[in-house]
Amino acid sequence: MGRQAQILIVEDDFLVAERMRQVLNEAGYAVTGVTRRTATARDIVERGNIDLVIVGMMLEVDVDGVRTATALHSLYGVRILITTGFPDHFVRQQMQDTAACDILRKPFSDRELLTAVEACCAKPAAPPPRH
Amino acid sequence: MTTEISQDQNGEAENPTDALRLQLALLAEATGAASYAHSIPLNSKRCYCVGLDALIGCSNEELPLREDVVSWLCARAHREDVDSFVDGYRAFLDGGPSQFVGEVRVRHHLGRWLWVRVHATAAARDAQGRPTGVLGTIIDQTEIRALREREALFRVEIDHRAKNLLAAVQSMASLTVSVDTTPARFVVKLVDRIQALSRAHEHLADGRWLGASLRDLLHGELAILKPMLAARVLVEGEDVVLKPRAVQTLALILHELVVNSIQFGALSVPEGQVCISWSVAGPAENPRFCLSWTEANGPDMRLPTHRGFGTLMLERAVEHELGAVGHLQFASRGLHYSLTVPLTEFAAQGQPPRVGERDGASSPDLDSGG
Repeated sequence: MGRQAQILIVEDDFLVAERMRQVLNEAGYAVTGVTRRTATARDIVERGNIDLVIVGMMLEVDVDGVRTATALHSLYGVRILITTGFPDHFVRQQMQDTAACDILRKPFSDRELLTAVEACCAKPAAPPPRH
Repeated sequence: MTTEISQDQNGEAENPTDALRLQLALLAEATGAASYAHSIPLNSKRCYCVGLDALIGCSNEELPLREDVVSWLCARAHREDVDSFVDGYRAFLDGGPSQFVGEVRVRHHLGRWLWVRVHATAAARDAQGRPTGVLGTIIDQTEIRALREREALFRVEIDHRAKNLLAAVQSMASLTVSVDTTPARFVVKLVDRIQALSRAHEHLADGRWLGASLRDLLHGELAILKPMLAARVLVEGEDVVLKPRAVQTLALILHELVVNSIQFGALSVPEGQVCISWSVAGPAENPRFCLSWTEANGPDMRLPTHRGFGTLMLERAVEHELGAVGHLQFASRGLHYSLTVPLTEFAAQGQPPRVGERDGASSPDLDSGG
């Protein structure tokens, strides 16, 4: 990825979202949005240039994070990193397309976050959107 | 139960006796399970079962009076379960394990799937150790399995909530760090914030996670004030039930306002006062909840050079968590903070859950003014 990676955070908990934003900004990533609403996330991704969406698995406000992540990936081909307090096998059970997303278990350290984000961004670009 | 399938001179099991029939019937009646007995090889006169009609919801005519009960069940079993179930039962009939225990989904007469557990034991065996007579029970496990599944989900949910809470506390610690905070001061700030978070959870638990009273929440946050300070805080507004989501956010912002006021604001000087008031405003179809924290007779407030945890909570967290607008004014003689939030995001329906006999509305600490 030649340019500064653009990241969107979709997370229910403000404290967790804000900490991720600060850690990623300090590491040189551009956090272009922080939201807890799926509709807002879709609007931001639709505008383009988002390289990675970090999605909390449980979003109280509208639909759950797995559905949000799956929809964002299938519609826009964007890379997804799911953060969750659930065990991996439980998350995989919920996901329709397990290859689409990486998983980061909560609570995670700054280093674990940055390693996971770096690994996601290093992946080849996702296939073109189906729509 | 005594085994009453006796063997004849050829080693074959005889018909179940009347006593056995009675015992099977009593067992079925007492446990709600179906019970059965049959000889091997199968003989139409030597098959007997009771209670299966009630369990499966079938008629008497459909009962397996001329075939092995387990084979009869397997013909109605879920295809995902049946192979391993049959393998286990076959091993039992071949003289393998002394008993058989297996679970399988069976179609109820009304169409739904029942989970049944089959226990079988050999009543008599031939010279090679193979059962020549079998006694068994069939127990409906549907509710127990559903309970187990709910319990497993509950465990996962508890683990998930604990991890999320740890992640929130971890983030709180990370966001509490600032360049001008000593390690000792950092610990005090963090512990105070964790306690505010803990109080919020107590209020939620008291309200069975349906909500919490705003006055109870305020009471908890103002409880850190000494009585002389508490007497200078005026609280105005009819109590409302906060939605669970609003409870944690509001507890943390009230905590930040109280601590800031004690250290730098109106409660840091002898004549300073604080008024906390709220009301519902706006059109009926889109009502807004407006809360204000107004300090008077305090020291001049300067705009902070560093936007720390408190500012983050008061301005950004309320927007993220509640879709609210939080506005901070560092005025002369005291700080003013206003919070405006859609009532639907903030307040739950119904009466505030009360904690024991405590009633914030009559609390002299909160209601006594300046």
